[in-house]
Parts: sequence; structure tokens; C-alpha cells
Amino acid sequence: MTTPIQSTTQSLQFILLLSVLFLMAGCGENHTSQSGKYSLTLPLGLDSTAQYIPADNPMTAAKIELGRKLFFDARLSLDGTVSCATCHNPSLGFSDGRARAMGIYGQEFKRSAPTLINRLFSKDQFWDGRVKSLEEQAPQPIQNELEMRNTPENVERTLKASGEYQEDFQQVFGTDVSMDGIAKAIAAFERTLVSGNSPYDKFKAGETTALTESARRGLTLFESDRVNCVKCHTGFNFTDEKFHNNGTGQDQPQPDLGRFEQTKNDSDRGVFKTPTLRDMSRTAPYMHDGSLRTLMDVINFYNKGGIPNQHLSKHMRPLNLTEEQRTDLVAFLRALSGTNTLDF
Amino acid sequence: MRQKTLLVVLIPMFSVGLIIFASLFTLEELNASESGDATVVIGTVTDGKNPLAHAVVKIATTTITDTTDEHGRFRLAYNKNANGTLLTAWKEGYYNGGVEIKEKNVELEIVLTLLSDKDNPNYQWVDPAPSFVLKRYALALLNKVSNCGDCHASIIYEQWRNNGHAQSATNPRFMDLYNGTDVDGNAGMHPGFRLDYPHSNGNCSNCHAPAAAVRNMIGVDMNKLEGVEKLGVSCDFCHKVKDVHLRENMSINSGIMHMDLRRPPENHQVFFGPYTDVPHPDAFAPTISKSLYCAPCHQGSFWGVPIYESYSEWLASPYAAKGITCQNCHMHPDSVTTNFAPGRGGLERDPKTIPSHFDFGSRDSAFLASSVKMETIGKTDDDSLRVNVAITNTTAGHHVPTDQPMRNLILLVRATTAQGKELVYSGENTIPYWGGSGDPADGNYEGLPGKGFAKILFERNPQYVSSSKSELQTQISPSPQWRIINIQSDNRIPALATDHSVYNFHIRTEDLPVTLQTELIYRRTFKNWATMKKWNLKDIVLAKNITTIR
Repeated sequence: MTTPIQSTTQSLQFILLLSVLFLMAGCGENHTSQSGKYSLTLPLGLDSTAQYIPADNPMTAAKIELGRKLFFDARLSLDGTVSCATCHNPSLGFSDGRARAMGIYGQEFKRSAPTLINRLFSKDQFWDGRVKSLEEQAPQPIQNELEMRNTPENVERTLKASGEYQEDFQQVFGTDVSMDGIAKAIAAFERTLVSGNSPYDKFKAGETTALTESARRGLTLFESDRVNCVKCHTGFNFTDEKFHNNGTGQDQPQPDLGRFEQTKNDSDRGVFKTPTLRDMSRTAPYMHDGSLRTLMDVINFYNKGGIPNQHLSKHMRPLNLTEEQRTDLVAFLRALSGTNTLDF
Repeated sequence: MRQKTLLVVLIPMFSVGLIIFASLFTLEELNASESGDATVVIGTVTDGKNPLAHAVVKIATTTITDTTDEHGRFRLAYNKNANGTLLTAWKEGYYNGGVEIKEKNVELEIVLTLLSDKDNPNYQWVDPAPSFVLKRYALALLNKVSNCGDCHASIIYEQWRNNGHAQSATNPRFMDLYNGTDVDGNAGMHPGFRLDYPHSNGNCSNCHAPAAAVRNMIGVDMNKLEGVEKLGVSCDFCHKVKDVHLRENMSINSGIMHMDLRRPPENHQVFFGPYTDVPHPDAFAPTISKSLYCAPCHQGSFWGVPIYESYSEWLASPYAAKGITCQNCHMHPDSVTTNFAPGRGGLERDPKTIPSHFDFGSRDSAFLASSVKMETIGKTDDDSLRVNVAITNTTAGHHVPTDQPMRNLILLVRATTAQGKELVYSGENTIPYWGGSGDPADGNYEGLPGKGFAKILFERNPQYVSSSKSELQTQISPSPQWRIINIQSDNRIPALATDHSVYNFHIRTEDLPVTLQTELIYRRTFKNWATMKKWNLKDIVLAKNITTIR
């Protein structure tokens, strides 16, 4: 159909109308705009420019919905009893409240389940950073003997046989149920699990009453040169996403050597990825082996300079903080818990 | 004079000689008349070609045995009339063998057939029921032997078919827990395994329907059993288990995974059993008479937590060291049965050697009541009545209660005046919430003076049911064992141990005389679960003491 454009004014008006429509579509809550791109609205305190979404796995509402369905589906495990949510339980800060995670048949393994909060701003996954994206992370627990003990073939077969996923996969990926699609969908869902708008964020935005006196003193200590937590727990998400040895677990016989087992670099002995400090009050116990039960235990651990070992980070040293100072730090950590509605 | 001396010498010599000569004959005659027809039989046990050393040779149904030497040779002395004439032999790895002794002092050869050393997954299970029960009248009329019950109907089949093992795959309460239904079949009634894990069959079949679990050890849908699989732990299943080796992780490995099944190849048959003297196709399996044989199903963990512990409780008890096994009590001979295949070629045996297949357990009140003893002593002291109750696990080889954690005991303590007024209770021990909340007349005893004995499980984490809308599971207390649980408390009474508890009541002189009644009841499940499921289960009274306090 061709409509001859009568005049430049008319064409300009037409372009203006389209632009307004596009703009309207771009505003408001998370949804898919005319161009099909999903835009995630981040809560206060999170830097949208720091998002990492791989080009081959853009976010769409349908994909995220599929990912959420898979996340809670225990059919990904060999006997249908373990889902991602079993160890990454939304009620427990997307961890499981255990020192060490427990998978199928009650098998326990050596590390704790990390939180899934704010992984939107990360690339490396697992305590030892052995994969570079959420897409690469998702298939691993599914196949791990201790976690879900399954195979990609079996997962695909089970989900196909259920008859509940054909349509979704066709719509999102244009293919049948596939392990690759499962990983992408779960990763997309995980990227929506964000935490912000904490008392600390409100404080930083100008609301001076958002933090208690104690928490404010804790913040000052946190950023001070003397205590220097920000050295590793840096930025808006309180992590440099790098690997450090603070001595946790290094005093055990046959200690878990963390990233060393992947890279075999001597300098990586006993190093583990810095986790975010957001939502910490929901994810006890702490450290990769869950050896520290409370936030005060964590502060005391750093206060004594960690656990001495040959490869201890040079940033670790005894801090000699008073009890009041340590209590202030704990109060600050508590103020990092997000209050945004996580409607997953 | 010489002749006389000669006679004095010769006559004694002659007499002695006569006596010696006579004894050569009569001794044998004497023996024969005392023991009937004493015979010695010698021979060799072979596999058809080579002799077999260390084979156990026996006169069937007796205790007359010998073990073959390095050359496979044996020697037995037996009495044909008293002991019968079937000579049997067995060696590890072989079927039992047997041969009739036809003539005296004959050298016999007993040939043993080698057992297949592999399990045959294509074996078709034999149905226990006699042909006439299955309405296969033609077979019954023709006296064809095809099922266990065709020979073993009157004794073993009858004993087995009403016990817990026969019903393990179809017990309606088990199915209610599996499917999450109530007694009326309404769905969505917790606790229910399928409600918590809608996409899992669970590994329940590994113990409850082992004949089906062999198809898939991850788990068979208990609603989709076929044929003999529905008959739970049936004859053919147990008698195909040659040995048991408990594997380490008892959460991953359960039931059949600990068993060495040895189903025979096509056109062969084998039955493993406790006798060496029932010839082919039977084979002796030493483990079948040991407690270890019961362990695969009566010991097990969920999510790393020990749930079924009857075997380890027994191991820790004095009975294990004394060699008193599960079978000794639960398959105790009835002292009356002398033949378990009467009219079908079964031999008459000492009744003490025939185990009963009743498998007494939690459905048998008398058996349960015999396991404990209770003593109540009430003493008044000023204005208080102090009641001491001692419950001893006198006879169970394991804790009381044992096995499935939903089993519990409730001790009820009541002190009433002659007018029927209850004394005021000032003590601390009361019956917990799982004794049921509501009208005591309906068996709800929460808060009443007393005590509950059970292993109580509680959920570690709230769990998400797999669904498209993230949905937390309904909390159930006590928690069923298939959820991610920890043991909150376990105050069950170990073998030969005594539990002491104290109950204090306010008492005034005008209340006397007071009737003090203590009652120990056994419940097969928690009262609050039974209420949720609308099960009507009778409380079984294990002990009752009534005293008058003056």
C-alpha cells in the first residue's frame, strides 16, 4: 500500500508520532518493547551500565518466564527431587542456609551454595571462577554427581516427554527442548534476581536518616584506609569479582585450594571469588565452606587477620578493632539488605 | 594230678576263647538290635568330573553331617529307620544335591550342579498364590506345580499373605502417603510424597515393591505395578536373593541395591533358602538366616539422615553379640509345623527347624505388648503425689518403637479421685502436639500428663514445589522423611534399656483414695497425621498399671 506523502510536515508528524510511541513503549516496568528487547528496571543503588548480558542471549519476557519455570523444576535432576531452588532457595537469600550444599540423595559437598543475587553484574561463576558466564554455569550442577546427577540427554528427554515445554522452547528459541536453551533461559531468569534499595543505598542517595548511627560509623570504618574492606568489596555491588585468599579453610588437613585446582597457578592457592555483601543477613553461614556462622564471626575473622597460610592475601592483617567498632561494622553489613520487591 | 592242672588251665582258656569268639558275632547283633539298622555310608561329592572338597554332607532333616576332605570324600553313620534315606550335599557356588541311599555299605556319589554366577534380568517372577486361588482350575485339577502355593499353600503361603511384607506394595496407608490422598481417596491431602515431588516416582519401590524396582532402581511409580510386583516382598523375591552386601551411602543405595539377586537363566530355576538338605533346584544361602538379610530394607537414610535404623539398633544391642537374629524372633518356629510342603514331597522335620512366615511386627498386638514392661510407683509427700514410671524394653531386639519414624508410643498418666475428679497436674512432662490436639475422647492427648516416644523429624528449609508459580511447600510437623529434614529429637527406648519419667500431681487428704492409672499405647502413626488422612487406626495397648493411692 502506498500513501503518497503530501508534504514534509506530514512526514515529520508521522515520524514524531512513531518516536513518541517508541518512547512510551520504552518507559514503565520491565517489559518487551517494540524492538523485542527486555529492559530490566534496576532498584536504587545498582549501576545499570555495569550489566553484563551476552549478545547471544538477550533478555525477553518469554525467555525469563521459561527460565523461572525451569529453575523450580525438579525434573532437571535424575530422580525428580532436586531443582535449582533446592540449593538456591528464594526464601533463604537464594542460598540454602547450610554450611555446605546438599544435593541429590542428601550428598554433601565441600562448598556452600553461593547466592544468586546481582549476578547480572558478573561474568565469572562458582567460587573458583571456572566458567565465564551464567549460561556456562547452569549445566554444571545438572550433571554433577552430587547435585542433580543427570545427563543432558536425559533432561531433554524428560522435559520433552512432559509435554509442558515444547511450545515455550519453540516460541523463545525456535527449536525443540535443548540443553543449550535450558541454560540460556535459566541464565536470563537469574539476571532478573537483583537486590538494591537498601538502607545504605537510600543513605547514599541523600536520605541521611536511612542509616542508624552505628551503621554510619560502620560505613566509615568500611571505607577507611585502616580497615579497607573496600579493597576487595568494592563498588556498588561490594565485590571486585576477583579472587583472594583470606585464609578460610586453609588450616584444614587437605584444604580446599579454590581456584588453584582450575588454573594450577601457585599464586591461586587458596583463592576464592569475592562475593557481594548485599543481602548478607539472609545468607548465613558465611565463606565458601560455611565456617562462619554469624556476621560478627565474619568481622572477628577479619579482625584477627584471617587464617595465616603461605598464600594469604597481603591485604589481610589484624585490625585491632574495639567491640563497638566491630558492632558498628555488623550494623553496616545489615544495612545492605535489599528492600526492592523481587517479584520472581 | 597232671590232668587236673591241665583242665584248670584249659577250661578258662577255652571259656575266654569262646567268649571272644562269640563276641565277634553277638556284639554286632547287640548293636543292631539296639539301634535298629546302623549303617555307615561313604562316598564322594563331585561336580560331575572333579571331587569337591569342603562340601557339607547331611542326612536330610537330621543333624548328622560331615564335611568332605581334600579328596571330596565323606563318611556318615546313620540309622535308616529313624533318619530316612536322603543323603544331601552342598558347597558354596552350587545347588544342593541329593541322592537316595538304596543299599547298605555302598559307595555313593553326590553330584552338585554349578549355580549360574550372573543375575538374569529377564526372569519372570513366580506368583505365590496356589493355582486354585488364581482360578487356574485346569492346572489345579491336573495337579500341576507352577506357583509357590501349589506346594506350600497350607503353611507358608497362608502365613505370609496377611503379613506386612505381602502388603508392602498395596497397603492403603502407604499409598495415601505416597500419593497424598486421604482414606476417601481425596487428592491433595498432606503428607504426600507425590505432592512434594510431583515429578518423581521416589525410590520407595526399592523396598516396597522390589520385584518392580529391578526394572528401574531410580524409582518405579507405585501406582503402576504389574502382576507379582503388586504382591510386595513375595516368596520368589526373597528366595532369589543369594546374599547381601550393605553399600556405604544409604541415601543413594536402598533396598534391592544392597542385595545380590541371582535370578536363574532361562529354563532353569533356583530357590535360595536356609537348608542344605533340600535338593536341586534349591541352594543353601547362609545369609538368609542372618540379620544382615533384613538390613537392606530395615536400614536406610533420606537426605543423608538415618531414618530406618532397626538393623543398626540391633547391632548396637546385646543381642547381636549373642547371635540372636531378627529371624529368631520375627520368624520364630511355631513348634507345631513339621512339614512345609505336606503331600508335595516335603520331609518331616523337627519343628524347631522350620521358621514361621508370619513375620510378626507392628500389626500384631500381642507380639508388641510382649516387648515392654512398665512399672508405676506413686508416693505421696505432703500435698503432692509423685508418680515414677519405668518402662523397660525387655524383649525387642531393637529400639521401641523402631523402623518407620511415624511410629510412636504415648504414655498416659491419670490420677483420679473416687468421684472421678482428675487431680491437678503440677508436673512438666506432657504429651506433645503429635499426640493429637482436640478432644481426648477421640484419642487427642496433647497437653495431658504423660510422655511421647518417637524419632521426630523437622524440616531444615522451606522447599519449593516444582511448579510454574514458585510455591512453598505446606509445612508439616513432624515432617515426613522424604523432605529435607534433620532429627529434632529421638527418645525411643533401646533394647534392654529403661526409661524413667516422673509426674507430679497436687493432692489433698480429701482426694484419697486416688486411682492412679498409667497406660502405654502404640500408634502406627502420629495422631495429627491420622487426623489429616482420616485414618481410623486403633491404639494398641502395650502395658497398663492401675494402683490405688491411699
